[in-house]
Amino acid sequence: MALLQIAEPGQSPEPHQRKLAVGIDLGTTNSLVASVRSGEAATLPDEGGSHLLPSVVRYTDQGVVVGQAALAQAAVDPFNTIMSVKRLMGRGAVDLKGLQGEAVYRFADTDGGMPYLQTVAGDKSPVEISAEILKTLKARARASLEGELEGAVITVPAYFDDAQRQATKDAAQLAGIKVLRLLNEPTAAAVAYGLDQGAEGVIAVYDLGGGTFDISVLRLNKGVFEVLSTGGDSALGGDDFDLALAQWFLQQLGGAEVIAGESRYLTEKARWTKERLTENATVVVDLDHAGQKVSLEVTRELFDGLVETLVNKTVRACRRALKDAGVSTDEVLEVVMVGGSTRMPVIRARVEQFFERQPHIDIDPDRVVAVGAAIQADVLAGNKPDSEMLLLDVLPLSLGLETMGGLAEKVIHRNTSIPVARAQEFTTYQDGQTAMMVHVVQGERELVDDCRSLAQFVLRGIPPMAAGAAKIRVAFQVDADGLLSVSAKELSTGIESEIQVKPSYGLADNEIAEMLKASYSCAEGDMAARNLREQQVEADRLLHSLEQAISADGKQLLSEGELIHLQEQMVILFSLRNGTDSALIEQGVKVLAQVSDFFAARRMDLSIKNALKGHSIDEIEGNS
Amino acid sequence: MSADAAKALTFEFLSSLSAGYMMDITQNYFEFLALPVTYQLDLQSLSERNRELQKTLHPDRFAHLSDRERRLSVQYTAYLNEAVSTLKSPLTRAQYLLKMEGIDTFSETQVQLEPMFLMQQMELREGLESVREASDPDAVLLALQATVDGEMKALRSQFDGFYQQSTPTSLDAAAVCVRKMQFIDKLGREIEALEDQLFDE
Amino acid sequence: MAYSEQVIDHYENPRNVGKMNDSDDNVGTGMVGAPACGDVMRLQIKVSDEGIIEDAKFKTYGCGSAIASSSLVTEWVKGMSLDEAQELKNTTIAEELALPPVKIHCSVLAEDAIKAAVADYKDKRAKK
Repeated sequence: MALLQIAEPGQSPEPHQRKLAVGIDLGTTNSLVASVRSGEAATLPDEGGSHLLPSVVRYTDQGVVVGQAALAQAAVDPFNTIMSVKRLMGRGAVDLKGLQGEAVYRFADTDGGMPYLQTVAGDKSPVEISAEILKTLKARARASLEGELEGAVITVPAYFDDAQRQATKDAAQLAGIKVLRLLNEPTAAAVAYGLDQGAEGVIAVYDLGGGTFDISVLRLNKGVFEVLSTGGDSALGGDDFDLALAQWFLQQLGGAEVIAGESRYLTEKARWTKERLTENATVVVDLDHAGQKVSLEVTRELFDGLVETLVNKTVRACRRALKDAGVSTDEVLEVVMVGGSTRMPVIRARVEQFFERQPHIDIDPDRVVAVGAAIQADVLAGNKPDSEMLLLDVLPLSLGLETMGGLAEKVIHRNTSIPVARAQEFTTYQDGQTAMMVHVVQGERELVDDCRSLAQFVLRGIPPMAAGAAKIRVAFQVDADGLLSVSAKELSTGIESEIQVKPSYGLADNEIAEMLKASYSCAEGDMAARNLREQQVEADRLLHSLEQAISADGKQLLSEGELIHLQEQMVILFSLRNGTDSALIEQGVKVLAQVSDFFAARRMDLSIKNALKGHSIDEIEGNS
Repeated sequence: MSADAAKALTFEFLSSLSAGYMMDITQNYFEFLALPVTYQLDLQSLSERNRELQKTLHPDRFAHLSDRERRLSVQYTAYLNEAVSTLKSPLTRAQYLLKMEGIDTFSETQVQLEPMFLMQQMELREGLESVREASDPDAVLLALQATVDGEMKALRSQFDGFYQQSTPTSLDAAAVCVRKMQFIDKLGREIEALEDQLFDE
Repeated sequence: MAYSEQVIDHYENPRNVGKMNDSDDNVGTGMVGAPACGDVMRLQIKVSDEGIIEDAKFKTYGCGSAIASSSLVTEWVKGMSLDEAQELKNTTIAEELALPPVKIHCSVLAEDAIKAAVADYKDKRAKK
């Protein structure tokens, strides 16, 4: 019997046609987009030839400006020009008090939850602001690659928590980008280096960006990059080095009160000085202050002294990451430097001293992450079916829940390989207690208040029992992007409650839908068209993969009856797919996915058998 | 082990997945990884099998495919990761072997422990607590670490002996070893934590 | 004080931490452990001639909830008779309906320790 021909000519992608996929480094200070073209991964420039897009968004009455043009107006229009928005991602309004430098923005009053920034264009959430940067990069990619994007790998600091990852993914959704994977920045850098140099062994990646610091220890083996441990500080970066110097400026100027514009002016001057100190031992900086010109001399020694505590913090994190990975410094084969801030001589010297070897700086530290992400995106889009490359990540911060009242109990420890699913049983505290509050937190500390609150829900309907008699199973599941879902179940009654963890400081799904709608301004039709297109793509994907699966393993794994039934269902979805009702297509996809589940599971089992073919059961029996 | 017993072993993992799971695994961790059922596990083979299976099962292998396949692969990979981390640690490996024999030391809450053993644990922890006041904290920490290492080594070999005898009495004795290992393991982690703190100060 | 504040307070400032002389006739010592967490707890009571618990001391090496619950228990048992202490149950009225969960072993560890201390005291008396 001939196999059903699903794809019409010209409709479904040809198997050999390259899919356009990009890697995006969504940085605190600068962002980049890269892609693999004719086997080479490279960052994409804008029409003016610059690769770095300053991560600055300015709102005006006429519209949104992103990048260099926005940066140029930062000092003049501080409230409407948002810089370093990455530092606000996934944060609650309460957290922002601790963040220096961002204090210049006007935050709208909200009922707790996510902070909104007041601009001339209305109140904006950090997610929307990030989405503007992503849209700009997407437009750049479309222009230089001349086609629609299949999807993107977006990098995040390894140390980002669930709320920050979710916020990043939401921003991509708002920008209309399909996320193939959220990839940790250090892993991306290791990919860029690993493939270039064909290294095998332990690699340490020291990543000091504008706003975050990460250290990751990886083991590279036959194309598999396995993260052994990761650590860092999601609120420590080059900006803090600028601030340390800016504060010194202020002291020299007599500690006068600063206004919003001047604080930013001094920070800009500090950054300028810091960058010059990379090449020069002494820099003279001219400052305008209170109508006077003041010249200050800054030596490298002075600067190194001002930032010493910051540098020490990063070195301590390195030591801990090595310990967590169970490797000693002399086992580390290569040290890779990432992030513009690693250009500082004091950083290079201290890293070299700690690891007792010269760090790699061959790839431009600003671009290396985007390049690595592009290589991964190319593989994930399915362009390289024979690639051996695989990136295995770990959970950066422990996940747990509140117990007793105020105390945090870990359910999944940090540095656990992901994806992971784990459950733990708990009980009630009081006699007759019929409800339980499940408060999900992330962090290493013992008190809930010192951890990040991710979500809360209540499990109701527990039958009244003596304290300690009820058994409630709380299950955590983390996917390959490091995103969490949690469910709770009372075991004697089976009463269940499940949530996809939407962080307390994140956007709800309907908010995202609203924003998406709004971004299509008057065009309700655009929204519907896009929705239809998305459902069609998902239907094509399912049909295509089933078709391939049937032709590969159908004879071996399906009875004739099963095959016929599957094909009937495929024909149904195919006819729905050519219609215009996106809800019907969505439903059809669900149905076909369900009826073909058993086939997918059988194929999975078959591939496990094939993977372990060399190690037959005989070998096992021979040993036991 | 019967298929039902195997099913019961994996059930707990399955119920930790979100509702509507599709995975259907009846193999225990050893079978899943094609490794012999033994306490003296070859860790090299374990990590090789892990790599081979990750290359087949990891969600990244399904990134360009449908949602359904990606979800299925997340579940299989989570099972793989759980299997690897359980078998990697000598403590959880011992616990898993006992569980295959029907003795659950993972979640037991009320067990009788020898008073002498508890007393010794109390003293060791009091010793750890007074490290900060010691004239040479590093020396005290090293000595405690040596005690932990020695105890752990002895318990492991006792466990293996009892486990291999495989009689109901010897398996109970193996369970006693496991419970003791849990206390020693915790002490070891606390020593490490204190070391970190002292270094950071 | 709200329930959660009370728990945190007992965790951060545990009451009745210490040791009594185990060889005193009127002191009972209970020693328990929870393998799942590797927690160890010693709980001691001092009993008056009338059979009332005059004082209680504990030392717990373990997770936060084990520390908080043993501190809470030592507060409760003071002034109780031995029989009351052995029946110890947490029946205080809940302020909030939906309380956070408790680790199963923590819910029993402190109770077990009290029971062991009472048994130890009675044992000592019987031997005399």
